Amino acid sequence: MSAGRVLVVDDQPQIRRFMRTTLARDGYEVDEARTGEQSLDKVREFRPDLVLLDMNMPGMGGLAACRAIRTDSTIAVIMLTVRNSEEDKVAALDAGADDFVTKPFSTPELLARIRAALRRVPVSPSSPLRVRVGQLFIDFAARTAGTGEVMTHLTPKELDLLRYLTQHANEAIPHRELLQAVWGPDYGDQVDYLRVFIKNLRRKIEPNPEHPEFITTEPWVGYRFNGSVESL
Amino acid sequence: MRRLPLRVLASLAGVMAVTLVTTRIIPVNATTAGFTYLLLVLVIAAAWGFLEASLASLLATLCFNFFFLPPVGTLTIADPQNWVALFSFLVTALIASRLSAVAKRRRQEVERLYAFSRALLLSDGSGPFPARLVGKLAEIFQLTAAALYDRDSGELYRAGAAGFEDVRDQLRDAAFHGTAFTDNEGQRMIVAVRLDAEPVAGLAIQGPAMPKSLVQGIANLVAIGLERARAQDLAQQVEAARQSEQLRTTLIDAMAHEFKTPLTLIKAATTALLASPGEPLESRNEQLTIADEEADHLRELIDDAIEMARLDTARIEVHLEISDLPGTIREVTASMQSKIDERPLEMRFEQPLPAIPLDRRLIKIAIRQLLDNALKYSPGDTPVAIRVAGGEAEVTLEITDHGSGIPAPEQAHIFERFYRSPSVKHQIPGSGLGLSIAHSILRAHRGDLTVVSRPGETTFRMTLPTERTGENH
Repeated sequence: MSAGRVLVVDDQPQIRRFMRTTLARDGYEVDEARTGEQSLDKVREFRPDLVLLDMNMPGMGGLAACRAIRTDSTIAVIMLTVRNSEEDKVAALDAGADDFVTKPFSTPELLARIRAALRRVPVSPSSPLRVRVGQLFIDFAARTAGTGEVMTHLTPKELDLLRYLTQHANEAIPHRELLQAVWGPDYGDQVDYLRVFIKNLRRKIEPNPEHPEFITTEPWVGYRFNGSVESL
Repeated sequence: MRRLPLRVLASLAGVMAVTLVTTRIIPVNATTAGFTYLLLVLVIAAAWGFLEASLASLLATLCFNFFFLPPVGTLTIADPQNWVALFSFLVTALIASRLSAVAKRRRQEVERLYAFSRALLLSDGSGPFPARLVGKLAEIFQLTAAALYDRDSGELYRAGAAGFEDVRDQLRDAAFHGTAFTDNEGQRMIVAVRLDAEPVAGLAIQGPAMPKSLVQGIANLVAIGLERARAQDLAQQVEAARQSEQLRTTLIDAMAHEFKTPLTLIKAATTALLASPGEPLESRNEQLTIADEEADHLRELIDDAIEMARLDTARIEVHLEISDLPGTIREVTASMQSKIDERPLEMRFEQPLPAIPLDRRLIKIAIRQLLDNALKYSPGDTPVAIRVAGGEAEVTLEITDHGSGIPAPEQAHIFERFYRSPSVKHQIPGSGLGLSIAHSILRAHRGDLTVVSRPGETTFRMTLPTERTGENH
């Protein structure tokens, strides 16, 4: 059985060639796109589970492509970039990427990141499909959250994060615990990831993201989800 | 000067006219006549000068004596007081002419200082600035010789007819210690040129005597001129440093982007190999091949970067040999295969082509730049065309892409060093050197590089002279 379907988007043919060889060996089904524009078509045709997206491409760049993919899809996106700068990292995550890998990368690490991005937090059969927290509705089955009238799509990582937070409502959850629960055991120090994902989540669920009431920051510790969670 | 006799005649005629009027037309007494003569002498002295006025004085004294002083009708002076009248005329003439001469000289000095200051500010031309400054100084002030010793450079600049060989030591003293010399015999003056009380140069002038204040004024202007020239030099140095700094950062940026791709692949392939020793032979070979090819690619990029930096700063020397242009183009496209990827490349070479002398290495660099740009600045699925056509005098190579085109106002700048179109600057990496170097390479071949662009089609045209035209030089 295939480990997953991966779409490689890079303007450099050699990178595509390498990814195809390496990912195929690890059991992934691979397709490729040369440009951001092409990647959008491929996302529709090939229906990948994950997109490996180069940030710097002529024409529609990686960031724009990521945002475009995100408008109607919640598939995992890993962004590749040549600059290891905080700005780029935040820009990539802000555009909706689930992870960020700097070139040059080590192949085992990239493969680990791909596994982490594809990894889904195991959902116990008893866990509720829909919950309500005051005015906030979360539909885990439909991957949406909102007031009930207006619902916003959540990316897989956002959904996993929100699920873990609501399962541990009214507890201060340390950064490391959240990272490892959602991204996997290889993670733990990427506090800046969390910051961006929490910010995006707040934008989607908080009435006033500047003054969050559901997800609050526990200084030096982590985050806390406030409110009583009712299963529906 | 040729007008002097005329003026003397006019002065004497004036005296005669006054005599005629005061004796025949409106008879007046001796006192009134005396004052009238005095007034006339004063006017002549102020307007023309001492010579005209003194001759007029003499005639006026004679007339005054003859027509008005008793005994009237004779030239004898009975009363010694009449000597006083003559003396008054002469002294008035002297003082008035002196005053007017001084005023004229002052005006001339100011005019010359003004002309000199203008010359300093507007000075452009060849040669070092101090040399031009000394030349202008000698010319404007009509000096027989002028010399300037620049303390910073230790150079002596001379102008004027006289040799002025022996002033170097005195000038150096003036420039270093601020000492001044005045040589009355040679009408030579040496002064220090000061800026903020600090001597910066020594100035020597020789020619018509000049008041100290004028020489000081000249020295001040020279100081301002030198300072201005120094500020300009400094600005040029700063600009040169800025350009070389820009070259460095540009190359580093280009490296950061371009070098990372091969490096990424080498690293990815080697880490993959290290992580799984039991890798199947086939994928193992594939990864080793990728690493090997990318190492070559990296070497090419480094060679290119070094070449670009060298070509940008050095004068381009061409080593011409009769070459086959289509073959050269094929070599370039072969070396760029991984960049060309699946892009359709239309190549059309007109046959037969005249023989053309070219420097294969440099022309390959130029073609590579143009082709790289065509690929970089047009959508990934549009074709790029390379056309070669031969004529009697020249061979043209055109590279056409179907990108968004170069806006007309930018076309004038694209061959400038470091110029990058504001519309693509932040999206497509580049150094802003490629076109400038390609242009220089074509110019060094006595050819040209031009662009025609409209939205949807951009053509860069290289023109190379054929052997026949090449022989002419």
